[in-house]
Amino acid sequence: MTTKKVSIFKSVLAADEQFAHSIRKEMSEREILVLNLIGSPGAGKTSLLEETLKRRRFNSAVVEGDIATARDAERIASCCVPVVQINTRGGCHLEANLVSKALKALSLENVDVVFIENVGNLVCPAEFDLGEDYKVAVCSSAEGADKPLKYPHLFHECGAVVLTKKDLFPHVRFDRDLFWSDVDSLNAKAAKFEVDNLSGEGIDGWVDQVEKWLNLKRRS
Amino acid sequence: MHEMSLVEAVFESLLPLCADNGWKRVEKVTLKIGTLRQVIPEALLFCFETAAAGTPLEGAMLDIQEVPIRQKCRHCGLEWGGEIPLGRCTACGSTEVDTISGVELDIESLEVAVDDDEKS
Ligand SMILES: Nc1nc2c(ncn2[C@@H]2O[C@H](COP(=O)(O)OP(=O)(O)OP(=O)(O)O)[C@@H](O)[C@H]2O)c(=O)[nH]1
Ligand SMILES: [Mg+2]
Ligand SMILES: [Zn+2]
Ligand SMILES: [Zn+2]
Repeated sequence: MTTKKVSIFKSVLAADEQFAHSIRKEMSEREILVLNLIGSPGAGKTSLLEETLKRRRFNSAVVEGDIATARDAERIASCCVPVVQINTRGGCHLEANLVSKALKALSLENVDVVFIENVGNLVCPAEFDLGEDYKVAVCSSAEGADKPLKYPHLFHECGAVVLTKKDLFPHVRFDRDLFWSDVDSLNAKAAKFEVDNLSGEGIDGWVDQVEKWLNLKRRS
Repeated sequence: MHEMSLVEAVFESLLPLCADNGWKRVEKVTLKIGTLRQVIPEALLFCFETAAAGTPLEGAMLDIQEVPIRQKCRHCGLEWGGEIPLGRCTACGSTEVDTISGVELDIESLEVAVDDDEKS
């Protein structure tokens, strides 16, 4: 017996990247904008979606990712928007193969934007390409202002940062300047928003951004 | 904890390769993993050992080569490295910055045991 060295040079995630690639291709052909919302448990991802969908500025569909339950999908369904729930059964992030299956269960006729709510987690969802146009980092003031530097990959990669629970700034002594200057150092190009999902304050600016991305996609 | 997902993906790609080539024993697997990927080497090793049991990869050494973050400014050409990626060039302030390494997640190579007569 001897030892032979074999070069592989292949991405670890090659199989899943194929799914991401075909989602991206199909969504481009259909001119559907795909956004991947990522944030810790309870950051306000579903609440942000509810506020966004209520405004009905475009036709949306939603893919909900959770470890268990269909609770978030039920909340979205009550906004009268097509939704499909993925339960990862312990998996702490969504993968493109799961999303691809979920998209087949949705009727995408006349849909302009697909929102994917990832599993609540600031770490690994950032590592998996779902075929989205942009990742959106959703972070709440209650989590503390130091999160961007502690979880740099997401904040570095995302197309937008939505800071939720702005109504809680005084209660949690949120250091706003620190938060935004750290975001800026990681990702000067990201669109940046502060919202209060309960009163709806700041939501319009975010919805304008989604519409801007949608128009960009249609023109390209 | 995405290390288990990564290990599963490694096996999904390597086990068919072993079967197709008739490799009965892999001695070493080399992975290249960028710092930005937030992979914990100890967790990856543990998952790898667990998954390898009873396969041609049982007992193989897992060599994890960490690739540091390197960035380059498109505007002035400055290159730098660091613990945390930057969104703006430190010299000219441009936001047209590329991350040229540190995001790798690759299976680099294998070392397999082969019978001497079939070595080509
Ligand atoms: N004060 C305040 N509370 C908010 C805001 N946004 C969300 N919440 C509350 O925060 C809690 C969690 O909100 P969700 O929208 O369910 O959070 P999520 O990110 O979807 O959570 P998971 O899907 O479980 O990861 C709920 O009780 C919301 O009412 C906000 O802007 N301000
Ligand atoms: Mg939710
Ligand atoms: Zn995960
Ligand atoms: Zn520069």
